[in-house]
Amino acid sequence: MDAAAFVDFYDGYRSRCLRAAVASGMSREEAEEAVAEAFSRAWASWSSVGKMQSPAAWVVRVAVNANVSWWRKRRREVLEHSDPEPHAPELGEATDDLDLLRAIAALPPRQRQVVVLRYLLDMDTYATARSMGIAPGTVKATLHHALSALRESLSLAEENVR
Amino acid sequence: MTDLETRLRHAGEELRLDRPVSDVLAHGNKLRRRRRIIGVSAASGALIAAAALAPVVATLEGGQQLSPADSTRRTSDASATAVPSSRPEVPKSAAQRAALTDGEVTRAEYRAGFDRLVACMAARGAGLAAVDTTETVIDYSVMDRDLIAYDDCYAAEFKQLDIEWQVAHSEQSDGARHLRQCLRRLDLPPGRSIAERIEILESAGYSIADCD
Repeated sequence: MDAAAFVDFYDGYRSRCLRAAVASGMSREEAEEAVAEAFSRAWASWSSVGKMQSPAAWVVRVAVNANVSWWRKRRREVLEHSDPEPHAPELGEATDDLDLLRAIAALPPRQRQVVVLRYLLDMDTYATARSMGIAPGTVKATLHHALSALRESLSLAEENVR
Repeated sequence: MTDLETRLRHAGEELRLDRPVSDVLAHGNKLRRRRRIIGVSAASGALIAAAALAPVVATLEGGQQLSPADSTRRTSDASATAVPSSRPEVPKSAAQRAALTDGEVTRAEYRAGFDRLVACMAARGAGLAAVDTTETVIDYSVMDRDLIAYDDCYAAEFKQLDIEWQVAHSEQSDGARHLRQCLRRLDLPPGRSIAERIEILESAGYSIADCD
């Protein structure tokens, strides 16, 4: 196990992964817990996770999946018939970022995942495609739709402010 | 690059994960100790079953819940910073060796080995907690303070019997059933073996801890 490599990875990606988790619809508090837990799991499996093309994407996937698990448990206890709503990200006074992350969180799952991988984790098209198990062309097309949806969503948000 | 793409790359930059890396490593080491069960299993030929022992992944307040096969983990993972240093493993007792000679472990031999483990620990002023002998595989917990006595007594009286028994009964174990139910709950395919189920679980981004 290469602890030094893991520490470098953690320092380089911890905040990016946190942002990606928030943009995936988690509250800041949930995301902090889930991402820290996911990094611990990454360390626990570092011999395999460290060799992955994008360990950061794995961390985000684990964090988001853990949140889905949590939500499912809660749904059984409290709600019976509704679908999960993406959580409005909490970023204090940063209104622009709040709008942007909220808009990402509201995208359909595949579009959201592409945006998170491409921009928040800074992966290229091919790495994004491999991570999602889809063709590079599909990534580009999905990204095109996602950006259009985000522009529309953000312009609506601006109009509402005015 | 458009303005929007630039904004996306910098979205939420003020968000920082402040968790110290030492906390992450320490928690990861605990998780790895649980996972070590899998490593031990694979190395010994098949005791993957132990990995699916659901109660194993729970932690008791003030102590650790270990699977029977878990004791070897600390001797084989020198890089885990929170893991105690290795100790030479105690040889098998005559009784355990005798029970293993015919290559098959009966329920009576398995149970007798467990009873010898309990007696051995009692002789050293230690004990097991939360013992459950109602399932195919005996389940129990070990408190931190009793771990050294446990490791010695487990190796001497029970370890190989326990491994053989669990390999032979992996699919009927409580842990195996729990893992199947967990996969169903997560909308994942059921898998044909415990090893495959663990692989399905982990490739979907989950871990055994999600099946707590």
